[in-house]
Amino acid sequence: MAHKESQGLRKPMSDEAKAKIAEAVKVAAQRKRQEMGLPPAGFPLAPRPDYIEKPLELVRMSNQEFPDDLFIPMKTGKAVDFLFTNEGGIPKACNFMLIGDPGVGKSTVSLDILSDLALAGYRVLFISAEMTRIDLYGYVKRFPKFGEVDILFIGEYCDSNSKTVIDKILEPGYDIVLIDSFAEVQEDIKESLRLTTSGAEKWLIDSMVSHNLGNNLSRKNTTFIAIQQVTKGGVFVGSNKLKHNTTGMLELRLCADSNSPYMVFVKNRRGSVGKRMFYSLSTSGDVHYDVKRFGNDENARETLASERAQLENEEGSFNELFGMGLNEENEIGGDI
Amino acid sequence: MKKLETISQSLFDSKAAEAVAKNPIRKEVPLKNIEILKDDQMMVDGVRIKMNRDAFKSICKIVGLPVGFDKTFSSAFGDKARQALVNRLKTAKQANGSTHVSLVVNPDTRQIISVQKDPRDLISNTSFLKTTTEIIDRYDLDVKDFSIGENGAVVINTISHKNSWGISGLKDEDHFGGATFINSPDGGFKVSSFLHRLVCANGMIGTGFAETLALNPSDPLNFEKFYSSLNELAKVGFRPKGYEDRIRLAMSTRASLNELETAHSVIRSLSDGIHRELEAWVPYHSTMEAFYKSGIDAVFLNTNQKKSSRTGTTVWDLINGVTHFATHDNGFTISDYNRRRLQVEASRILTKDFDMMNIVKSPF
Repeated sequence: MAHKESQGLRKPMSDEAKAKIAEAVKVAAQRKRQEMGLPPAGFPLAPRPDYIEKPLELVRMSNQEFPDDLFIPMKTGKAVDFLFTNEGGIPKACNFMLIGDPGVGKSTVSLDILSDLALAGYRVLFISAEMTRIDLYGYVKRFPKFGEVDILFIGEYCDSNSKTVIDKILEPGYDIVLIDSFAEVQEDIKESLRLTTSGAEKWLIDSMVSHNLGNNLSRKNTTFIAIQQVTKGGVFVGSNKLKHNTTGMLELRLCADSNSPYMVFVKNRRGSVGKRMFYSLSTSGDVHYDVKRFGNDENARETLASERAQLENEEGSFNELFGMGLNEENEIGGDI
Repeated sequence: MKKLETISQSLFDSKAAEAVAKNPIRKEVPLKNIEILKDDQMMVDGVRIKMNRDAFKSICKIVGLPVGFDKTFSSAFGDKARQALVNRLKTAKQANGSTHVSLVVNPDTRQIISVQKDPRDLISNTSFLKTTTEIIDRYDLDVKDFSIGENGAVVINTISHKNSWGISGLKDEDHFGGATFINSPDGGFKVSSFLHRLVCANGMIGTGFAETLALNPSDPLNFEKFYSSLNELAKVGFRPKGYEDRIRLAMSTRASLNELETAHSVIRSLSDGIHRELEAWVPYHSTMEAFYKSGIDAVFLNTNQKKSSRTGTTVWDLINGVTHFATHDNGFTISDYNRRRLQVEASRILTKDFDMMNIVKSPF
């Protein structure tokens, strides 16, 4: 011991001193976070407070009132309208996820929809987290109408708080917002708020839902179309929460036989599921939808539905013809 | 120029109503619930039901018994052994995972007329007519005739003025293309080229050509493929690939005695025409007499010998004889549906390998 003191070594710190220092660091960090406008450290993992900030409200839909206009879909004027809803158009106040194989045209198709709605007089916004101004410039050369869409390049605000940027940009209110991609924006929010992945996802979904309900300056019930990344096997990478919180999940795929691209809803609360809309990006300026093929597909589905009903009827006729299922004694059919 | 005759909308509507009324009925049953009693009877859920020859053949096919083997087996071991074999194979099929079959019944005769693996392999006459009408409208086709078979099978021949072509270097060979729509309890929904030869107004149903399309209506994807192939066929005016080449070959190839005899026998079986009366269409008797006069009594020739016996009729003349008999009212009793079967037979003759096509003239 004497030897250690002679070498100038300090006495080991007591547990009490260690605790005091840790507390001081924690308080300082907390103060710094508050200054930065960030939630307390460990917030996402901490249990939620055991009280309810907002008074509980049971909603009875018969007491609810929404303007009729809210249920008139936004029409692009193209066949794709009838894929989104049966009455034709992109519904308001909804959230759609769009996934697809690489190179199948996710950004082009969704920008085409956005541009057509802009031309139809709707207020549109594109939040680009994957493409830069230069990337988009190339697109606009090929699709000039994309040039009229308002775009936020979120990557240009990497030093800022993404949450604040998104809150600020959505504040005026839009009819439709395209996010490319959900995963990239989620990642930006995760980093700037130092949240977990699911925490960032929750914030983004909550923000979308809030704007669906018209919580913005112009009281617009915003619809979101969010492009989402897929795994190499083409599987959706988002959480179940994200899947369940969307109105529709639109997949863009390549047809195995003809290698031509098509889009199909695998989930759609406002329209049909499983109808395939083939499209082509080969011509400049516009996405071309194969209306004839879509009509064929629709006819085929109608035929299959009526065939199912017909088969049930035929089975009933068969049983009646041979007295089956009537608990009678065996009957000899035909002219035996 | 001769006019293409088509049927009126009111006739089409009345035929459509008849087709719907004659629609065969389907029922999916577990394989374990059926038992073959004889080749014309089966027990279904404890009820004995009569079946026709086609139904027995289709059940043999489903359980994996080749028709040729079936004939050999039953002649060697008798019908009882064959039924036992079919039932054993049925049990083996069940164990292999095939659990259900679909029975198709003619409601008028209460007879099973077909057995399918899945009821969705077939389409009702109602859906068939809806799909067919859409295609007819889309490609601006005119309905030439509409026939309904006893078992509810439907054949609709259509044609278009827009789809006409000649064959270079050949006079009187102006043809019109259209589509034939068939829905039958054993073959399902098929579309093939309908070929109309203007000079004699004969029609042929081109089921023998590779372009024949079948629609398995169990999935929208199958409709997609079907419409896509149909569109390709429509683009070429429903003219099958190699049609002209086959005609040229048929014109330059003599029919064999076997081909002549087969065509003659098909016409006889489908109409009330008797031997001598059919000479104008298929000169079978005069051919037999010619052989007899040359010292060969063709009655005693076997099939292979008949296949090697050259006649004085070209294959093309034989085909035209069959199509003419099928298309025109010649004073014989023949149902509309059997006329269509003859038109199918004509295309079978045109598309198969001709018996005489490989004969080489000998220098010795």
